[in-house]
Amino acid sequence: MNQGPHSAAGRPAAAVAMTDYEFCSQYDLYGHMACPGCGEKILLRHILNVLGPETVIVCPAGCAAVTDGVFPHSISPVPFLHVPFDATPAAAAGVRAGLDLSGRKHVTVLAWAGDGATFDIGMGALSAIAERNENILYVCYDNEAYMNTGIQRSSATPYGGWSTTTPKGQLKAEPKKNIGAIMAAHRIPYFASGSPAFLDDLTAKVAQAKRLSGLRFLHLLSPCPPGWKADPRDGITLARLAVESRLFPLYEIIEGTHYRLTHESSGAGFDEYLQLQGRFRYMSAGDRRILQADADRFYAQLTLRHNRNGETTVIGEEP
Amino acid sequence: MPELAVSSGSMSWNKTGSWRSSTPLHIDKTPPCNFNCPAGENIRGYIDLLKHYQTAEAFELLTSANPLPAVCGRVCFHPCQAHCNRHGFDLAIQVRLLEKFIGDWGLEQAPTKPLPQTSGRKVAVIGAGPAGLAAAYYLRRKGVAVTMYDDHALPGGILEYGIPAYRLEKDVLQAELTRVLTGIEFHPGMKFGRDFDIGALVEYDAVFLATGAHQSKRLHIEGENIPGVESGLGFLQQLNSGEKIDVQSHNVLVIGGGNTACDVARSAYRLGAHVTLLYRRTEREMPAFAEEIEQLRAEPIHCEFLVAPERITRAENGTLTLTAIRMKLGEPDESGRARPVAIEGSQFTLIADRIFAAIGEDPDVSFFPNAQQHDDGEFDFSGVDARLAGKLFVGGDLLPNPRTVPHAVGSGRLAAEKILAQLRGEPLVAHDCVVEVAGPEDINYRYFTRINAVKWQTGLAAGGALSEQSAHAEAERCFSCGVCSKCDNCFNFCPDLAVIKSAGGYQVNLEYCKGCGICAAECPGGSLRMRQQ
Amino acid sequence: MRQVISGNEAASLAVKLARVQVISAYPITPQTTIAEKLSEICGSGELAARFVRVESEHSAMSTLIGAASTGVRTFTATSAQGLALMHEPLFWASGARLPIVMVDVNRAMAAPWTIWCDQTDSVAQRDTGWLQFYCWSNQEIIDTVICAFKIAEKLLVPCMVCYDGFFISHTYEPVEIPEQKDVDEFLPPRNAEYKLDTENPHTFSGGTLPNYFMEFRYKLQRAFERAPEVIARVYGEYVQCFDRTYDSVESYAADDADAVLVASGSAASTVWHTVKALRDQGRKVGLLRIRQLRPFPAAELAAKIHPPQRIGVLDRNLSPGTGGVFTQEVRAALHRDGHTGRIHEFIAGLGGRDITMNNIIDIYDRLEQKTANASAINWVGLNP
Ligand SMILES: Cc1cc2nc3c(=O)[nH]c(=O)nc-3n(C[C@H](O)[C@H](O)[C@H](O)COP(=O)(O)OP(=O)(O)OC[C@H]3O[C@@H](n4cnc5c(N)ncnc54)[C@H](O)[C@@H]3O)c2cc1C
Ligand code: SF4
Ligand code: SF4
Ligand code: SF4
Repeated sequence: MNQGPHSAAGRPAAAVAMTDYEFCSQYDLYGHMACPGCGEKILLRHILNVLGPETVIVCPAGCAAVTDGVFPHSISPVPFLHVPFDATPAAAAGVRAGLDLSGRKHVTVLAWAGDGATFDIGMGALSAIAERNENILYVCYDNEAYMNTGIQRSSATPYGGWSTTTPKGQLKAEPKKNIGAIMAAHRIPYFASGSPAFLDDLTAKVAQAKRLSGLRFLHLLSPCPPGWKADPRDGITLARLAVESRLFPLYEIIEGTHYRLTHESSGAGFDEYLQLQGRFRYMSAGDRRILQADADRFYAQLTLRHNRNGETTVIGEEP
Repeated sequence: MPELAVSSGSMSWNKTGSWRSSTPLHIDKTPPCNFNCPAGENIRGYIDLLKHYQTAEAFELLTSANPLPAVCGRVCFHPCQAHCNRHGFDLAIQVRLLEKFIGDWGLEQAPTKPLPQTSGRKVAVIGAGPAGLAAAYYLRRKGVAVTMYDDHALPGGILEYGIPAYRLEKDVLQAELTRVLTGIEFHPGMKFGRDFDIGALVEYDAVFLATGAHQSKRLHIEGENIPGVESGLGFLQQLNSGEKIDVQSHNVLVIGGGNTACDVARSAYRLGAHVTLLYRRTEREMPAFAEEIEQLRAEPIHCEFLVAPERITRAENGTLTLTAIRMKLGEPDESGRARPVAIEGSQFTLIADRIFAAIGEDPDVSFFPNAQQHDDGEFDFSGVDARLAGKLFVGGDLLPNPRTVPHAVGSGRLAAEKILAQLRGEPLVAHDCVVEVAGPEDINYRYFTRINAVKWQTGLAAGGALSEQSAHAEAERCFSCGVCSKCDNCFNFCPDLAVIKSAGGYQVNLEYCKGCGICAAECPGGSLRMRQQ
Repeated sequence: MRQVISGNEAASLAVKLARVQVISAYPITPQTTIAEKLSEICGSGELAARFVRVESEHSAMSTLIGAASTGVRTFTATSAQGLALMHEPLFWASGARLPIVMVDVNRAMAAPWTIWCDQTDSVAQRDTGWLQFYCWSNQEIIDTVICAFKIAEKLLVPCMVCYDGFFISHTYEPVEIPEQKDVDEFLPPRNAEYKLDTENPHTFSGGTLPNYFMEFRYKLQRAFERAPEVIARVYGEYVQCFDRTYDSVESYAADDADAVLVASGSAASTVWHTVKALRDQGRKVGLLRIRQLRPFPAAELAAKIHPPQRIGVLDRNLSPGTGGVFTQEVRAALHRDGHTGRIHEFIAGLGGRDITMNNIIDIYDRLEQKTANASAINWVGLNP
């Protein structure tokens, strides 16, 4: 198993030496409208950092769209196309087609969408571009609810989570949609999950995605302090705890069949993760156990699949 | 206005700094290792250099505060290590080994740097122990001509004549001293007050006095002067001078609980004696360094605690009989340790061939007959001679400090700084400012993985010394308490790109910082903090 | 070259001649044969275009929004429910000023299920900011689709070319097919001022506050106001190259007619034949064929009406609660022009019901005999 960011000597995990941060700093990313501590902008800057200037962003309604700026201003250092909420995958496919037809095949088309646009309203179109294996890098920054519209549940909201549409007494009763399995079922060349707390893991995955062609999908956890009812300072801490507690394991799926855990989650920090967030305040002890058991089960599946690489893994088969 | 909504500018006009209610500040705290180093070393600093395999730079930084790293890597008691914040987490950073690693590197590989021309200023240093050596070293490196006097044939003071060779190899010591003494005029066998006097010192711009504490304290009991009852330090001096001492199979009693007593007991044991150490308090109160006690206890040396000598007698055949009394611990005395109280009628006797008294040493300042001594032990030499008025500086064991090599080194360097300031006619810049020491609460433990302390320690220094690789691995464990380790976390995690990285370090762009506090929360060593506006 | 082809084939050939670069479409009857034909053309390499085979009409339009933003020429076609599914991105395309061209093969809106023709699908999209042309022949389709690209690209407004499902889409007619080199001359490659260009990065359609939004709507309206002149100029150029042209309102024996029927699409050709027959009988009836719903050719229409003519409007669509959409438009246009006469509203042919010559004769009779209701809908061919 990949050693992950923790070396044996226990040196700082996120001590990533950014050799090429000029790209983001030479352009003016300042002044964006994201809430203090927003994870989305941390993710975006590091992704752009790897992708470089030959990138076009396609972005639906959502936090990223709203916080990018207001006409006639924008923080984006690369061409940025706003599209309707449900249109990201198709519009990205159109941009791809248009660029290819204009001799710009080398340009990366980055679909940059939240969980609402991805897990819910854009799911049909997403499935379509996955099935067609469009040459797009689709990245979902998942803040686990409709945050921009005021914290409504999405199908990415975790079991037991509070939102304005799953209020106290009617907390979300369904587990988070397994987007990795959905993408794997389409046998896309590359799926990976990522967390802003593990930047070297993240940037390696973005670099890998950039190297490949076809539909590449990154599922990134994006801490949202106001939506998660957490202290803005805890964003990265939460992004780390989510991984360690196995609620958001870091893994890759290659060609839909080959699973690889890229970080060994210790399993610790589950309670702390919930405690630091008001959105889990109303969960009963029983619900917590259900959530944790679900996370552990999923992680065990990943571990099994990881270990079984080399043999044939049958899609959809339960280990 | 364009025909369609196409952007024409950045958002930089949107000064999001106005959203902020608290502000991140990059303010370094003092790491506890640095804070507790009597020699004033920047320990975290050279550990950081080791992290980057910059041993030469680490040597440079270390010797900028302590010219004797190879020595201190062996004999210093390392309060830095004892106070290391990593201690409570898994295992303190093994600073002693790191210092030794750097010191040994220096013995083999330190480049010989040209010394500055002397400027005409001259300073005399009396006593070539660690205090005198440090003062001489730093003065010479600032262009001051130094003349050094010592009554012994070799420089080093206690390092040469007190500490036994099994703890501090002679070749290591001499190699280090050779480097330190480069460019310094050294006069051995010159005892101040016997071979030269104040008259010879008048020509100097300043005099640094560091003659140490060599006079063994008396036992003040009957029979302490009979043959066979000797000073422990004297025994070590003989041994270190290469004299043959035959204590093979002798019964040897060592009285005392300090470093001298331990060294005597362990040296005698190495010469084949059966050794018993007598101390009037318990092991816990022993003033010797913890490491020394630990090693003593690991050797087949019998220890009698809570025992005080009362009388020594000598039989015809030369056999000594020590009558001792059992003690118990009472109320704490002025030193804070429990006062030993004799238990009425608990006398017993011990038979010995030789008895070494090692209950402490006093300085010998008989060269200044009119020197005063304050209650706290501090000497007042101000009135000794008008010709030395304002020119006399004192250091090392002559000061009422703890008597340790790093204290001596620190005092020597401080004296050099005082002398240099005086020669320039400037006041000395105050060193004693209030410092904030980084504690365990400043550390973000999420960034560090616990190691298995025992396994780690065993693997680390096979053969007692670190390889470059293991020094690096050990340095990697350092938290960099309270001091920016240039980990880039604040830079990388700021959602607003408000942390600006430059060659000089990190700055916060307050025009855009929203005050989320992520940078401070993710600073591993606590050198970044938020301040409410 | 003259060929006997269907309406859908005419549209497909026009797309090929226009050297469209990105096509995206989803099958729906009666449009489907366009998607098939274009797939074939792209597959054979006759046209160097990318055909993006999407999973819905919403995605078809969204794909073109993405593609057109890169500066290429784009096309799609749909019908009925498909067009309705595009409703959201239709606004986006016009708001983003993307010169996308689309064919809508008119089909009634379900429920109940139907695949047959009426114009309710496209007239329901009249507020989405698209130009709308209505054709009555296969020749007109090929000509109009080619012109649509030029018009759309000049105005930066997307353009819908509509014609009746089955009645036109699946009917074969001889069509004069323009030569590729002539079309190339008439319609040079698209030259987009703004596009997704990594060399010159911009953000498109970002959040716009009340301080600017209205201005963008004003600019869009201004583009529609400029449209008649631009459309006229483009057809003016077209006639130079190809010897054919069309007016926004075409008059057939209307100048001296006592009763004038306003109509569009295939119904207009039935009217035309009826007018011819009635004129032979000496009746003074006429036809005004409307070719555009957006922009609505109000001035052109007003100029071609001479009171006290009796006016009827034939609508093959229904906006329930009001009536026919063309009627409303005609009334508004003439009223604006100071016209005070009654406008008679005739609803016919919904859901593919035939509009026969007898139906039209009946309409003319009622107009002439003043038996048509002027204040309510006159349903044609209804069996209640
Ligand atoms: C046995 C023993 C073991 C120790 N072990 C340790 C240890 O492990 N770690 C540690 O940190 N500390 C240890 N110490 C304490 C430490 O050695 C001293 O605190 C330190 O050496 C003091 O340095 P100094 O320069 O003040 O004096 P010294 O090292 O004592 O040097 C003074 C020098 O001045 C010379 N001198 C004296 N009088 C005159 C004169 N009149 N004219 C000329 N020269 C003169 C002396 O001969 C001597 O060479 C030990 C001490 C002893 C006695
Ligand atoms: S962890 Fe490093 S900086 Fe902190 S006390 Fe220990 S050695 Fe010093
Ligand atoms: S986060 Fe890292 S780089 Fe920033 S101040 Fe702290 S130690 Fe220095
Ligand atoms: S992370 Fe950035 S925005 Fe947040 S407090 Fe630190 S400098 Fe300010």
